[in-house]
Amino acid sequence: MLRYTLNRLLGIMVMLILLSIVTFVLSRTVPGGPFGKAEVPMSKVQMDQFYEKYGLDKPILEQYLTWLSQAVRLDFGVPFTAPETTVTGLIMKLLPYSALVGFLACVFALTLGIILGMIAAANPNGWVDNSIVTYSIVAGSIPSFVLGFVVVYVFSAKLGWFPGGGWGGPEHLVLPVFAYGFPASAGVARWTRQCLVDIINSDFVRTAYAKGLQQSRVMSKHVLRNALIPMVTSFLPMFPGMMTGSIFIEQVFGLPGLGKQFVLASTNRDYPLVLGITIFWAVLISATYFITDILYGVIDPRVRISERAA
Amino acid sequence: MSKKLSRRELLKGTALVAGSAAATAALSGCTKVVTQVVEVEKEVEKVVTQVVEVEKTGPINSFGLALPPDARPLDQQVWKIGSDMTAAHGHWMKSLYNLLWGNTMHDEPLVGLDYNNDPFPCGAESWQIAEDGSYWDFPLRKELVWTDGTPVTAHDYEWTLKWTMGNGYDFGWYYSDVKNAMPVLNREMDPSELGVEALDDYTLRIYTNFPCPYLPMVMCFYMPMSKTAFDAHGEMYELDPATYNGCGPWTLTKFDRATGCEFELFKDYKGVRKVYFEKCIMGPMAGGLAAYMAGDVPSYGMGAGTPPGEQAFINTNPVLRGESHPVAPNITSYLGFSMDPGKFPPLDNYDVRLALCKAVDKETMVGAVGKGFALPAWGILPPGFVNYNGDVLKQQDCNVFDVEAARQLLSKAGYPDGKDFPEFEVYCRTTITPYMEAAQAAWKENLGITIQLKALDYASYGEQVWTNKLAPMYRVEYSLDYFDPSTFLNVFRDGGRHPHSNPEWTANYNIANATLDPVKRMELLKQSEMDLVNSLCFYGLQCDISYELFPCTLGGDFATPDRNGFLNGYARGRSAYNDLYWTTSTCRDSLEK
Repeated sequence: MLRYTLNRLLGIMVMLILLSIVTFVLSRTVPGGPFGKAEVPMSKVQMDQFYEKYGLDKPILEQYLTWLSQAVRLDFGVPFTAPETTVTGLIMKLLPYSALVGFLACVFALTLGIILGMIAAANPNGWVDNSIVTYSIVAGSIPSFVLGFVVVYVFSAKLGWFPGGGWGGPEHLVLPVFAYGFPASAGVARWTRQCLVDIINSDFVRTAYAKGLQQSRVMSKHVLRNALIPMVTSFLPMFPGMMTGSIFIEQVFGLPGLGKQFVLASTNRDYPLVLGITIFWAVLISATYFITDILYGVIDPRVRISERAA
Repeated sequence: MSKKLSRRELLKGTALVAGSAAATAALSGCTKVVTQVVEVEKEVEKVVTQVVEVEKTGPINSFGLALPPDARPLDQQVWKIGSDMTAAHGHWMKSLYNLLWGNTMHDEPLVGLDYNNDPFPCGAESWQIAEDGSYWDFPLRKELVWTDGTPVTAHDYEWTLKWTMGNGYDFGWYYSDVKNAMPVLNREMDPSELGVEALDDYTLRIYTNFPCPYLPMVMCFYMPMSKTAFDAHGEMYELDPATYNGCGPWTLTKFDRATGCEFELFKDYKGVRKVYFEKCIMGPMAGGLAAYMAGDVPSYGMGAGTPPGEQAFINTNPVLRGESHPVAPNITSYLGFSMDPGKFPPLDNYDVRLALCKAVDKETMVGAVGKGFALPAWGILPPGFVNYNGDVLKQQDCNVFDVEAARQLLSKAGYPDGKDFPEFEVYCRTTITPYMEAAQAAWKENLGITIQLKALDYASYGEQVWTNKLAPMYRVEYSLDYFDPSTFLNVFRDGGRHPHSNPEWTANYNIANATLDPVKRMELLKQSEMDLVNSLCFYGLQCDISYELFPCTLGGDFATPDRNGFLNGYARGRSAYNDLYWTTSTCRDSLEK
């Protein structure tokens, strides 16, 4: 297990270095620069002043090595668009907002999706199943920003039940969490149903019924436990995916967050911020998959046995 | 008020009373008439009542300023500004293109703009040009102070411009009329030689390269930075409430990169701008019409890009329709040609450029594509702008649609029926507009030539078209910075952004622009614009018109259409949000039903 863990960690480190090289080179290769937005172009002398100030006048290899030597100490530099803080400081400042909205949306999507998936699987090919499958197709096809505008119109502009946007108390989270989580619940429902249906048709489930167990006990004790591995593999990475923010949700509801920041950093050619957020995402997603792999063993003892055997 | 009666007055009054009593008694048939004179001395009080009409006012804000009578309570007098908080600086004089707020809330510009776009003395008390036109003097208001309590002086203004021009200011080009501005900006000259000078604590003198009759207009963004705060806390002093030091009507009370900023009134502000709002919030805000309807955002724009369904929704809703106001088309979209000899032949051939222009039926194209949200651009100045000359420019050869003439011109240049014409690309900033697609189709259909369209994002476009001059043809727009024809025409001078040179036009234009007689200057500038149009360095496409929606509960000057009937979002956005307040009107109630 230790060797496996070390191998995985080493793999993650190599991947992060490769990713940083590709991102570093690509971000500087794209035409335009962080100081090229003026309606009347700045002279070379003016541009040189900015390049010198931010160290962009040095050879790209030297720039990268400087960045890398700082990055290993978790210093990712200073954003061009927020020079009063650091990249790490800015990410840590924005992350809680994205994380809270994304986490709640994930929980909402998983709760709704798993419940619906289980109901559909328990009644295969009946009208309930068909309705839930139809729901999963329709809900999954609605872009979250379209749903966002609709819910703001209905629940804020017309009914006045919730604020239409901005950051504030819990009431400000209701509409964005719904708009973010609702389309995601469709995929959860569909995948849950698929996983459960496969298990339900297994021999050991038939045996469980033959032993005289009740449906609820069979579903929770035998079916759901065995369906967890494919579900965990799919659903756990949803968390870093959704918790790192969505530009659409943040834009529609006027929320602070990393999603919008990343897109704006790209268009503003804010190299340190683009690189910092990219590495942060990569670390988060790698860590999630790493944890998922570890969890396999907890959920299914056969995974541990097979690793010992290997 | 009390008055002691004199003896004479007393006797006179008593006799009158007695006489009256006798007459009354006689008339009533009284049998016994007794006349008795009684001498009484007593104090009387005279009460004088006067009806005085007291003007009813609304609440009194933190400045001690009475809001109009229909104003809502102070806790509701909050203005909201949408911002992603993704820009570096909080002061206009540090950066324009990396700037958090594009208004003048925090510091006092030398010159202000009212809702009619007329300049008014703001940081300055007045202005005066020298007899020979070589400089302007701006006596400053003595009552202005920084939030740290120290007075605002001409030295602050002088230091600010010298510091920013000496540090690569990205909007430095804007001050190119100030003497030595460009050499200082390009580090060919020391900032101390910049043509700005504090004659004393309260008089600022600005020297210009040429006589510059429009300089006060240019100065509407010239705000001082606090050297004291800069020296003590560094370049980013304006983004921390603890180190902030400004001299405008507002002061920073909260700064947060995630949730935004908050501003409150600077109570020691003694300037001329009347701010009624009590608080201002800036930060991420919800987008879309629904959020506007819900009151979460204070304004919403409707233009050609607005989905037709949404336009119909607005137009059929009486409240929203009433809240829609036309915004002046202060922007011109145009097609530029790289016409320097040998650079992109045959675009250096006048006949070829003329053929390309004449092959496009601009009026029909703009009508069909714009659907009421655009007007044809006959020159560079948009309709309604100072010195607009569209009726005359419309008659110029390049603006007259004539397919046959266009074909002949192309044939004369050696490309009959468009044969062997190079397949140029038009570099389009941010998007390929339907106007360009229509022009592309017209060239194909009328001239038989293929022109490709290529969209680039803002930063890439600037580098490839302006800096590296790689584009044979380019589509871009330009909008005003201030209200004088020079704001559009200056950008075509050699040394501006365009990838061609035209020294003769530049020389003539500079003479016209420097003419001190205002009437003669406008005449000469009309001629300059006509010369520019006829040089075919550019071809006007369209001037976009948009509508701004703002709640009918917003009151004040800046919520009132200007003298041309347009809503002045430009000057409002660059103001301190003065002369605006929320009213108690119930005009929006039906929106929520």
